[in-house]
Amino acid sequence: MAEVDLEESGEILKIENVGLRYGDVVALDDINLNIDAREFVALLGPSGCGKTSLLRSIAGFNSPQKGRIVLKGKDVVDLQPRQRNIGIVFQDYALFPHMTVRKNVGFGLECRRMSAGEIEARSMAALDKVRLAELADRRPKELSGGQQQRVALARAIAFEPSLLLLDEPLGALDKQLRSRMQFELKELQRSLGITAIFVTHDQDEAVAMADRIVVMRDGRVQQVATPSALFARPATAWVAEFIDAGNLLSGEVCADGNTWSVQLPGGFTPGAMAPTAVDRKRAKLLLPAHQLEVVATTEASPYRLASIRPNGMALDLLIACGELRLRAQLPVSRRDEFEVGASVRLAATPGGGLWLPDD
Amino acid sequence: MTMATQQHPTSHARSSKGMRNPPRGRMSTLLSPIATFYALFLLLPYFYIFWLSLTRYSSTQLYVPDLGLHNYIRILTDSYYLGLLAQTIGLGLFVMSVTLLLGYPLAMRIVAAGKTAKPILLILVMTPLLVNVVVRTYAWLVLLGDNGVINKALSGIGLIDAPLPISGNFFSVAIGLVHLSLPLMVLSLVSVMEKLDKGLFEAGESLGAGPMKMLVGVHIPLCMQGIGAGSLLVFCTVISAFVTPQLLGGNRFSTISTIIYQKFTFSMNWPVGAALVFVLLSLNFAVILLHSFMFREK
Repeated sequence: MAEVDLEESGEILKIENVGLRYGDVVALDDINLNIDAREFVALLGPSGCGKTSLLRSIAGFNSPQKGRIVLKGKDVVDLQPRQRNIGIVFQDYALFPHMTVRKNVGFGLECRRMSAGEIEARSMAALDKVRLAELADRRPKELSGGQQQRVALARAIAFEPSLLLLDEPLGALDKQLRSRMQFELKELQRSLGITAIFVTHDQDEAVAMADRIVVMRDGRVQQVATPSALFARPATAWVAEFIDAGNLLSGEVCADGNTWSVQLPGGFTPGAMAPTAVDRKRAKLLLPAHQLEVVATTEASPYRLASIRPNGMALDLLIACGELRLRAQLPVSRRDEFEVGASVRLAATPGGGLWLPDD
Repeated sequence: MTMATQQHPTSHARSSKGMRNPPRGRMSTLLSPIATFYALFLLLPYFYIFWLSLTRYSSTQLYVPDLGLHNYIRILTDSYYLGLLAQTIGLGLFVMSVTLLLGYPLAMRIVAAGKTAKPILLILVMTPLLVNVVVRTYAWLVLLGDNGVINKALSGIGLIDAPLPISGNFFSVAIGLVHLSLPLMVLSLVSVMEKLDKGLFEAGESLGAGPMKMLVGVHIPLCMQGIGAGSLLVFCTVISAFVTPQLLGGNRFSTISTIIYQKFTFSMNWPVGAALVFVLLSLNFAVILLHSFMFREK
């Protein structure tokens, strides 16, 4: 099985102005995206955002009415799926029930008319990669969910495709298996040097596996960034909310020189540097949980500690004020300072906030 | 409903109201009306025919109770009867193959049809079943007979001098039976094809399968249960069919069923006729067992 191909570099996939509609419904609206060789990219978004439509367009099951999909320098928009040399892992695995694991994995190789020896060798190599070689003669229905998923993976990589697509690959697995498979999948992709795109609605999964995340909403790309850049600087309030980047504060906004601050009850006025090209009336302040300072107080304060929970080395606090809910994260050593139901005073760590457009 | 669906006599069976049922003995089961009905009208006639098959033909008395397996031995050793069996089985296999070859693409087309077209196509396929078998078969006679539409048209144009022998033989019977059996095959196939997981075909496509590979490697193997069910249904219907072989086979082509009819009405050889009934029944059973074995859950 070919390991990292050092010749393979540069852009593998270029999606240009792709538009797709089903009757009146716009599934994809002017999508532009470049994906480099050996990248592991996540398409992240809520259901209906177009991530699956985009994946299926790349695969060839959808025909976008507009735009180009350029795979390794060739526009594939008019090519049938079977001509695109793309490996796909489907959400429900889609293993052929009437074939053994070995035959399932070898199917793509049979379609390419290789010799029997060649097919056997490459099938077993793929099964070795996913560590399932000893189950080669079983049938799919005799396997567990995790094993079926690995067979689907082996089948998709056996013929060394240009691109690997995965549709919610870990959705059907239980939590423990999922974390393990995230690691294994990432390792497999790295060792094979294959470019991969996967669809997910789970931002934890995207963060765990992807080199870059493409956040989508209503058929449009909202932001493309590495996981850390995404959390450090979400593009909009919607993205920040979707990835759960922190508290999103809105209210009366006061401009004071270079700083905008939002007026919250009890004299709490967190602020940050004024952004450029953002409408003050349609802006929200992102204040991550670890940038919210909380102090127990005996003075009157509209803020009450609603709950406090340990979370590894940290403490998750939920502060309530009327309808408002704020989350804070403090070192676990400060547990004894707080009592549920007691009043607290809030402050924002300087430089911890970020103004985002709200749309 | 058969005897098998009667309740087992268990003393702890409960009715839906949660009350204990009174213990049922075998006697009361036997005396229940449905059981009596079946005993009288199904089992008794079978037993009578079987007994008949063990008697000996007599030209003066119809049959004499000289019980033995002589009729069966005759049927299974005489070349005439063996030829008849071969002919009937051959007809069954031929019609089964033709309906499969014609029905498979038709079923695929129906399953792929849109919301409005599908019910229309299904009704069109089922129309042969809506018409009485005698009427249907006579229609073929009208077409294929020596004085039928085809012969009259061809001789009218002057293409032929004598009528084509397209009726009263194997092929006319086969055509009539294909017409009759196609709905059975198509409906068996459609019911299986409807349930196919379309995701499997997307997977096949993504792996590079062309139309032939898809059909032979994925579609047909997945439809095996339907192919088996349809084939069984058609084969058993054909080997047991009476009206169509009788009307379209003329005097030249016979099947077991038409010979049974002959034995009971013209030759008045009831013992051999009765034995042929059980030979046909056994043939059906054998095929059903073969089917169960071939399509068993692995």
